[in-house]
Amino acid sequence: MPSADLDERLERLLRTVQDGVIAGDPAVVVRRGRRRRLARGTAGVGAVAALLAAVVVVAALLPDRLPRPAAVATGPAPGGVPDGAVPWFEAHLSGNPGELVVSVTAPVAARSRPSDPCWEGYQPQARAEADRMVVTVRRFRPRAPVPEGHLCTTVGLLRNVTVRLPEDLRGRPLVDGATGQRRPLVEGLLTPGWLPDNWMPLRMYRSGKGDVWRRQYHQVGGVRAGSGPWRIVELAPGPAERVTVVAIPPRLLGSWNRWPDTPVAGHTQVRGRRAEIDADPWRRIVSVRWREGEVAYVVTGRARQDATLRQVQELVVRIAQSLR
Amino acid sequence: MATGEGFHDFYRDAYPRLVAQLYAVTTDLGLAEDVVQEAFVRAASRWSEVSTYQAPEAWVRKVALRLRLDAARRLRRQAAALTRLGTRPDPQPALDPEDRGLVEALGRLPRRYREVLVLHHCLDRSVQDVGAHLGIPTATVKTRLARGRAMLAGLLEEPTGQQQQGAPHA
Repeated sequence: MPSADLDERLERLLRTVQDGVIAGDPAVVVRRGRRRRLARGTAGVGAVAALLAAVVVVAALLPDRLPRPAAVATGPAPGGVPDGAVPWFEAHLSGNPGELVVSVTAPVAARSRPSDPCWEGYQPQARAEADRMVVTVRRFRPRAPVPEGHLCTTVGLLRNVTVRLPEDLRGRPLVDGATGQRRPLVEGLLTPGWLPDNWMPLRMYRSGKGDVWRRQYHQVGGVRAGSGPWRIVELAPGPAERVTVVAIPPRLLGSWNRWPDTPVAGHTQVRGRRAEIDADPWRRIVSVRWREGEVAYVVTGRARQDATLRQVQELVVRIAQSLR
Repeated sequence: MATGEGFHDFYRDAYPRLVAQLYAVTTDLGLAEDVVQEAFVRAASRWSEVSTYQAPEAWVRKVALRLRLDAARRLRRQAAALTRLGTRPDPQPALDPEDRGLVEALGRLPRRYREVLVLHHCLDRSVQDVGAHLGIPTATVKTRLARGRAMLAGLLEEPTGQQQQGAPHA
């Protein structure tokens, strides 16, 4: 492997990990360091001092992590049996004070009843700490195991879970209790209500002057088999490799990811607005773009080699129309 | 000098970076966090001295790298106990399939190759610096770099289960 490639890949890995790591409270580290210093300084100064030192040393060995406040369940248990915490992808402001909406990827059948073997339910929990807000989404599954020979698709749609915060966020970062990772609070980026089966979020990031939000989706393969380990099943590829949803300032709407001579392929209605569709045959991408007040949106799909731009257009328009 | 002076900013700035670097070396995020945290505690206990060093972050990194070899096992057990008590989940970074593949490949490299690769490629350290950091001759660093790169290239060619499956929450 060329050194430059390795440099680039390692650098990207480090950046990704670094972005998800949050430094804790430095006061705790300082306090522990002070105890260490005291323990060092008081060693060997006589029996009484040694006794005192022992007390200090014992104190130094006590856990420094202050007991954290208990997580508050912010919704009723949905039924079924708890099945651990499920990572969530990102959080949005719900519009109601003290409330967030977090997105998890869920199987298509998650919306069914608990009697369905593929049902999944979710219960959010929130815990306010001094320097962060920890939100955990607990998953519940049916009591009965998935029957032999029955398959549940594992991905397919985003499910929004509303979280009532125990106190105001006050600028604190949000942390996913399932992974310990910091997750973004998305402002102004819409979420698809529909994705093709086996599509899921790939990555989400903010760029520009902090006013450009991007989220990419892609297709993965996967089914949950009844009994036994997970099994991967090869699926027919869809027309697009990935689809990107972008929220941008309106001044960028016309030029975002579009060459000047890209032909307009048509218009459609998205969220009650007239949206323009353009298809670039050279780069094999199709975009739908429209404006909503002070924010503009562009949904772009890149075609697979064997797909037509028309097929990609249908996919991109359907995803755009499902945004909410 | 009071420990708080400058230490808070230093800690908040350097902690995520050092955890990421130690993660690349250990491929275990929980372990990386534990050894970096412990290294910062040691820095805090002698901050009046460490803060005068030309590169306090390099000092903390060196301590963390040393800690991971022996004390890391003990710290890991403590962390596991804390996890069992329900104080925090075992952390895993959210990575896309490509990054996950790289971590898996790094994890399969012998430690001696992994650490020189990370120190040299991630931190832009010269082979002489890496040698001084790890206490090994420069020629050994060069040999390990060459072998490590070749092994890593081979490992990255192999498809892995994780790469096929994709990252559920990249």
